[in-house]
Amino acid sequence: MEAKGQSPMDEDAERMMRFASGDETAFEEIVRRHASRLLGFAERFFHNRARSEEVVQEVFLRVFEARKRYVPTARFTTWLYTIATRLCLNELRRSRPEERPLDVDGAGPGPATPAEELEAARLAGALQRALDGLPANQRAALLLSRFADHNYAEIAAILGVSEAAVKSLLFRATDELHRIARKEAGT
Amino acid sequence: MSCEDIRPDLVALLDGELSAARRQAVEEHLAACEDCRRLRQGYQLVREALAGPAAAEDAGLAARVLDSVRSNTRRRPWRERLRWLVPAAALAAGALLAALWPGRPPPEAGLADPVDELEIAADIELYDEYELIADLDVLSDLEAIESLQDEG
Repeated sequence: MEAKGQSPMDEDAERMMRFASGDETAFEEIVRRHASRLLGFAERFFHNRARSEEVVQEVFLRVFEARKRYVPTARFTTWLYTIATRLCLNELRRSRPEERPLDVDGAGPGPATPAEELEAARLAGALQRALDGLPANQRAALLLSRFADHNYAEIAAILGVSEAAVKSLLFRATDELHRIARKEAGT
Repeated sequence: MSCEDIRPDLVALLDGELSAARRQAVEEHLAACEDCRRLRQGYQLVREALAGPAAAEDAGLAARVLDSVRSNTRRRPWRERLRWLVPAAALAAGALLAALWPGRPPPEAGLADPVDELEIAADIELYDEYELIADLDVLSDLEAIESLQDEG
């Protein structure tokens, strides 16, 4: 995982520049480095592997087609997740609620005992439902922060809002999920 | 400083996004307030539950993505040309229509209602096919940006 605040942008931006110059192996490297994580990001929106993979394919198609226009003004992943987030939000807007099957696998760390496992699964399911119920912008901010590991400045750039707005989105989203978790726990 | 002043900063504190001065003020409050410490702990648990493990490695994923991209880019060159041809044709048709319809009052701004453009951008798959969505996303993204501004 890339740590917040570092700038591995240089490596991937360099790959993009090589790709723009005609080196297709650089594009393959980019796909191999980021496809799996992008798939996980999209699955947090759709809970559907096939649909998420289609989105990932579309993201890389956009990257492929943008190679001549690419300018490395920010961390590469900020640009990559800007494309991914917009595609996910557009796709989400088009989908109907019944097209969003719930799959809570992998929603939390592994517990120790069967009773804890049951409780953790119940809480994870409640959190996932609550996450799905958040406004799309709060959900996107939360996933970019917690799953894609972007800092507030990067999330602001991706969503096209101020850092103060990102802080507010993340607070309200976390507070709402916490409220749901407490309700589930009966506290 | 009251709990109401502090609580909106607790998530940013956990994210390491507060200024040094603000972090110190929040931590001083936390040292004296058990309720806020409990809330910070609750937020921390939510964050940990959300992060979860990375997606299972899928050895074939990158190969499938690369196949898909190559397949699409082989089929798309003629669409690249249409990318500019389609809007140009639409503008020409609009200009022709305006010229043939002298009684119509001149539009105040643009050729179409922006709301209609948003609907078109969001709904018509044809635009996706011609990759216009790359440009029209700017329009459909306005909805997200406007709602963010409303909330912010």
